[in-house]
Amino acid sequence: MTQVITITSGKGGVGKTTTTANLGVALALRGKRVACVDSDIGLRNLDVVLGLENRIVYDIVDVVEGRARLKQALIKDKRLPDLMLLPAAQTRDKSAVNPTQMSRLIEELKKEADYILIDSPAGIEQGFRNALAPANLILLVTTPEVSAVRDADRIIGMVEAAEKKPPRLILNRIRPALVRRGEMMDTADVLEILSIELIGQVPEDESIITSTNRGQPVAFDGNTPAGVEYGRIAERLLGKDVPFRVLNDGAGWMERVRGLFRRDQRGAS
Amino acid sequence: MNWLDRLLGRKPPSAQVAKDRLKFILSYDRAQINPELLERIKNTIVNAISEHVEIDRAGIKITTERGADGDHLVADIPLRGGASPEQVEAAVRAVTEPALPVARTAPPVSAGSRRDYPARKRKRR
Repeated sequence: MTQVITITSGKGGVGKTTTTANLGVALALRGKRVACVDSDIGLRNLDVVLGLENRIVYDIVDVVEGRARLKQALIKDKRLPDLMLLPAAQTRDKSAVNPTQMSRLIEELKKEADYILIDSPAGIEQGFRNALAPANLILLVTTPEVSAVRDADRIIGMVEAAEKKPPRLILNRIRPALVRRGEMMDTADVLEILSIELIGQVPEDESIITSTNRGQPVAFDGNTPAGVEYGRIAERLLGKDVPFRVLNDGAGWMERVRGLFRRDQRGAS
Repeated sequence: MNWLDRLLGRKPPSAQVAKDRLKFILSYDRAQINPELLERIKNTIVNAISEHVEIDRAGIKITTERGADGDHLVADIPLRGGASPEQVEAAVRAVTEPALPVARTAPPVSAGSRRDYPARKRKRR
């Protein structure tokens, strides 16, 4: 039974596309057939993050409007044959597809994949509704910042209103040093506010920038801080019980000693 | 924040400020109550209760919390000095079972959203 997972956030720029690409790679590396779907019509980026921008012939709107069959639009990644991409259109906008069409398309795509990852656009409009409609599981990506968490909360409300199960949280771009200094909210803080179940906590990682520059998601390597965590999230999606650990960025002994004298000991978790 | 920080007049760490601000922001985002209405609800509750027990008005916090059964409006009202169980009970009854019809100080909260909540008032010492 194919799992349809929608990755959304509300706020833009918190890492939905990066997460979709990396989870796609991580799951495919573990032997699953994965189809990544870019539903951000008009502002497509999943193709670029995956490094497949040169391979686009047909896109999701071509399929919905009958100009191409689904299999013609699906791009198979040459690095990982079990990984596929259904790209968004760049010259249209979110009104080109509606939730019913999206659901029908995803239903057909289920024959080709064990996991379908839908990269939702930012916002709460049609694009978001399209991405939400076919989902079995929703992953909510947020960063530990006031605006992002506020928007994430709104998304939780909308997911409830759509009668889906509550989303699971991916806390992204965590900076352990800032958390230690009490200048960034930690996982416990965000969980207390949003009250949903955690599925991953991804540290801020410079290699994300270089990986996007090259079109080579970090999950291929799996050795960078973010890459490791994407692997762990994939394992959890596969049903394995992977404990959440305390994030450490290798702070020096001075920092740790200073930390002992703080009344409000804040450890990243 | 330790005693030395406070002595030197340093501000609390910003993560705590962020958390507090978020809780306040979400309390009206979620319930779709605007801050003005929330203030009026707070005053109504405070006026009803302060006839029976002494309360620390400055320390009152009204927030919304997400529970398994939906959102809850939670009022945290610090009591000043001792209050006998009878006084507390009278105060609670003043809010939950008003003897006289409560004067409408605000329009009713819109019932259109799925986030309708039963108002639950909790008093904590």
